[in-house]
Amino acid sequence: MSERRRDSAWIVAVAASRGIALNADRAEEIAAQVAPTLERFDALVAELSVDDDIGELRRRLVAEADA
Amino acid sequence: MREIWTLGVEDLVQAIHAGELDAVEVVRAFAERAAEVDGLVNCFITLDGAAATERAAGLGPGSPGPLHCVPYAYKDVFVHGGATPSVGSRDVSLPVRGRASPVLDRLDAAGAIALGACNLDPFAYAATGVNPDFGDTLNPWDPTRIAGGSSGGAAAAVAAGAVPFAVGTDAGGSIRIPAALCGVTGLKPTLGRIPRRGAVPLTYSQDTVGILARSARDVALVLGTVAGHDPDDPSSIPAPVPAYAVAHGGCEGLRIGVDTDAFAARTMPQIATTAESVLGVFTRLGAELIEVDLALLEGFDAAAAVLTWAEALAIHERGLETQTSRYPPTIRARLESALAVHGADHVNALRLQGRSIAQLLEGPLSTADVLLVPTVSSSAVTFDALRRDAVGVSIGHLRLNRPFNFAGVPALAFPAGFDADGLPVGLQLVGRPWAEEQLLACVAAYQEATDWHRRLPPLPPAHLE
Repeated sequence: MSERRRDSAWIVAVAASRGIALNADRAEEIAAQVAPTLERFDALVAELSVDDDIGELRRRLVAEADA
Repeated sequence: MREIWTLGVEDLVQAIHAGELDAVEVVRAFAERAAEVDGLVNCFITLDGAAATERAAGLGPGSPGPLHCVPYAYKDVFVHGGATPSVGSRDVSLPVRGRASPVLDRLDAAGAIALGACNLDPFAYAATGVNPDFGDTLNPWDPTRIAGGSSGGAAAAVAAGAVPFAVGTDAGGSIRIPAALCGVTGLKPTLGRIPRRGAVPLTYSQDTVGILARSARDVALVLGTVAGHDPDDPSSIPAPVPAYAVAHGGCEGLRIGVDTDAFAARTMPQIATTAESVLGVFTRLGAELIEVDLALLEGFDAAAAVLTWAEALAIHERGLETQTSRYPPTIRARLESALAVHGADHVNALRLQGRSIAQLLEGPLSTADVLLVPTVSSSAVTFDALRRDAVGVSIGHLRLNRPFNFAGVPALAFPAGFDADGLPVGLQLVGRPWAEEQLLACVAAYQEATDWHRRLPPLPPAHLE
């Protein structure tokens, strides 16, 4: 994964595109705060296969209810 | 004779049905107590004891429901009686469709009487009980300390005897964290067990409606009334509903999984010491202890955070754009975290949710029937300490709870002792999907062997003088 998508310039651009006021200093803070979480998240995503579907949690819960 | 407000749900049901207590007097007594403690801990946003007493009188004596005239309160996120909830904000108006909550409708149909709506962190998006619009909820055990959140008003109300039970919501620990900090029992059920229609969400993929009460047996009685499929709620799952109110069986032969290292690494020493004591009780009750590795929860927590950021921003994006200055700075800051997340991140987090439940069931919950894990990293901190490290306090608690919202499994927080400052310490049991009955029976057995859940905070009012 590229680091660039998490940087402050990216965050400022996204905020602007969503109509949310945000200055560069605050964007730097956000980028620093979320970086550790997103790093762990990216590592998990790298293990996904295309078969991992967004409906799997509900399917599993329904299956457990029927068990 | 015990004061009426000290009685729990089970005691009240029995006494009212046996004619030992006048039902209307019960509601009046709790209404008076609620008004009294609300002045001390600020647990309600709306409270109307007179209207509640009038409703109780209107029910009459004929064929009473199972919770006839048992008072309750609910977190102010539910649509009830046509009223739109504040969701903890006086100034921000969210577009809420006025769909009644089936949970509160079921309680009303069972004869329970709502006294009012409870205080919470704004938009349920924090775990502290701090609210700049309606005032902070104070911990009934020490008003210089936080009650936790976001269902902080509900937990404080139950702890202080304003109501024998309350209904809250939990997307990342919002029932269990304040339950632990206020010394009450709190259930986050399996995702899909209790309808959440009519409750303003924080997230769509992890929110659950749950129950706070003094004891597991009280939670069981209420769960039996509110659980069950709602065809109009897309998150609801048509699972069979057991007779929770008669849940027995204790923990004889139950395999309880514990990650000892995780307790030591993620909590204050007092919590780990409490866990040792609790495990000793469970062992004497016939449970078998199994060491498990819960390192996988770290990953669940990261993915849960991404999911929460994205969905909370989806709900509040329009508000942030048009009502920016009305959002408390701390909440705005949390919402802004989502600006670093892509649409693909949200989809991937949802995909990881399916993996998480599989990993839990095929990992630790394959060798253990239930898991004993911490609910909070410390007992309730002071408001001063919170101001010094608001993010650290919240994250310390949330990371212990979010993983189980992410995986959709049930968790029951229960009082497990007190620390050196006389503050409650709580732990939680986590089970397989739909295993609420097992968790409740196990904690009920623990509570028959201990008295932590029966202890009452020193209110009113000497310690406030």
